[in-house]
Amino acid sequence: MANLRFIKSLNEKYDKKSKFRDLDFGRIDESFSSFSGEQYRRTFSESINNLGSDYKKYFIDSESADIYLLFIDICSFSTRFSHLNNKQLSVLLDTYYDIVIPTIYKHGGEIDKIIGDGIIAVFGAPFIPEHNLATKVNDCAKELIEKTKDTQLYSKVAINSGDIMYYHNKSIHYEEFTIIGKPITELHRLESISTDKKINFFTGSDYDRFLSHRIASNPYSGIASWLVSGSLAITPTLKGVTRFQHRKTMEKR
Amino acid sequence: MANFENIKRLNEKYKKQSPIVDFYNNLSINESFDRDRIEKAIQGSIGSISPDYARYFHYGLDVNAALLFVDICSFSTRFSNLKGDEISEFFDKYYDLIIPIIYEFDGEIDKIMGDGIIAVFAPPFSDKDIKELVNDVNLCATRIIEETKGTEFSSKVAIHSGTVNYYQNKSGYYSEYTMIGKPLTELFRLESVALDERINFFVDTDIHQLHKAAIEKNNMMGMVYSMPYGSYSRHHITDLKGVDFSGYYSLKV
Repeated sequence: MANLRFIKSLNEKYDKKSKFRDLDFGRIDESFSSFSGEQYRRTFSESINNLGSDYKKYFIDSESADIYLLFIDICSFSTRFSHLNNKQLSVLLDTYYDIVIPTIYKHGGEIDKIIGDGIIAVFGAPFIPEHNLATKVNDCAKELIEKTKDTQLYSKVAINSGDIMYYHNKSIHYEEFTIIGKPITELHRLESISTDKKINFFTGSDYDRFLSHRIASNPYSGIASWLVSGSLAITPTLKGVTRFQHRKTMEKR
Repeated sequence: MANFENIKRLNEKYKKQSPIVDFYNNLSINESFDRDRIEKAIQGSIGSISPDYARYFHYGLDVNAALLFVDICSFSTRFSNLKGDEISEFFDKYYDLIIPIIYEFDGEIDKIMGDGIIAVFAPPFSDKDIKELVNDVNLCATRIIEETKGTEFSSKVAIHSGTVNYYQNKSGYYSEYTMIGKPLTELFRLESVALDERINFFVDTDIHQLHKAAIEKNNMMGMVYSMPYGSYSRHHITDLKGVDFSGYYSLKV
């Protein structure tokens, strides 16, 4: 998971109601700098406990969480905007973040990482309850594509899901939680072959099943304005992706 | 770029001589552990570390950088059985091995994402020219492969170079620097096809130049271990998004 301090900052900036906004880093910092490792661990655990029992379960006890992940990035960002100077790039990226981050928040997602134009969001425990995650990530992805597709910030989205763990390095990055597990590796690989202005996902994935079920149960629902295409063979074989051989895309008609 | 506090903590833990540590310690004393005030002070005075820090972090000048991405071969698959504390212990040992090597060759840590570590060899962290930096990244990669080969930390390394910028994400008091530029996208793509226990680099780059004589000898003689570095294989790139290179080499050390 991203840096907790970073999450708190983003939550405050984009006015997201969240328990992170109450996290007292002053107290944690002080215990980290001044006291013994044991004292610090206790203070940190207490602070995480105060966020709620789910946070303890996943952040302190390291239980695995079944989540959805979304990766959005601007199509050909480095090539299309290589002529911009740093100030112009800052304006462009700030505009982009102001569109993408509130949309992710609106649908219950939390920011895992920002790597330039690449943003990884997590939908699931401990941030939101584990039900209807596919609906949330689906609504979010569609809104992101719609908001960006006719602008210079047109983007592509990759979606994947599965069991992950939040790894916490206690000795150095005490406020940093990194998502580890196969789904995150697969997500990165999927992004590397994703099609512009579309939602990309693996054939046979949870998200694929969710869409199929939705179409089958109500062919005239909102999803009819979106076209699912596939199944494209994954070539060359993606390193670290063994569960899937094909991918699909979904685009606005 | 990572946030400066993380760099400082890593520098301290692995005993790297760094102006960032002194800078932070002075601030901490003056600001009495008030993290928000420290962050605010950092944003205003990072340029006071040296003129180079001002140039690259405040004014966003282009940086000629050599980049390295190391990660453990098939980590998610091979270590899916590890539980919370076991993973922490495993990563701590891995970081204790890799980070000092990166520091030894004048690199700085950009990002740590579980088993994936991105390091930058560039100003303002190093005052060497790009030729020397490329040499450093190459030596660092070689050492990492040598140290990890055949062990539980068996890794693959992708190295690359080019022009990047440090972009500051301004959210509240939290200052996170992220590297942006085509070389970084290319590095991620290279990692996605990198061969295990090898150093991987694109054709027709500064790093290729460094190896050119050895590669030509290799081509004449076939895969022979008496090469200065090892034996090379050339791979064709069929479809790597955002990458214009026609191929890459993998070097078996």
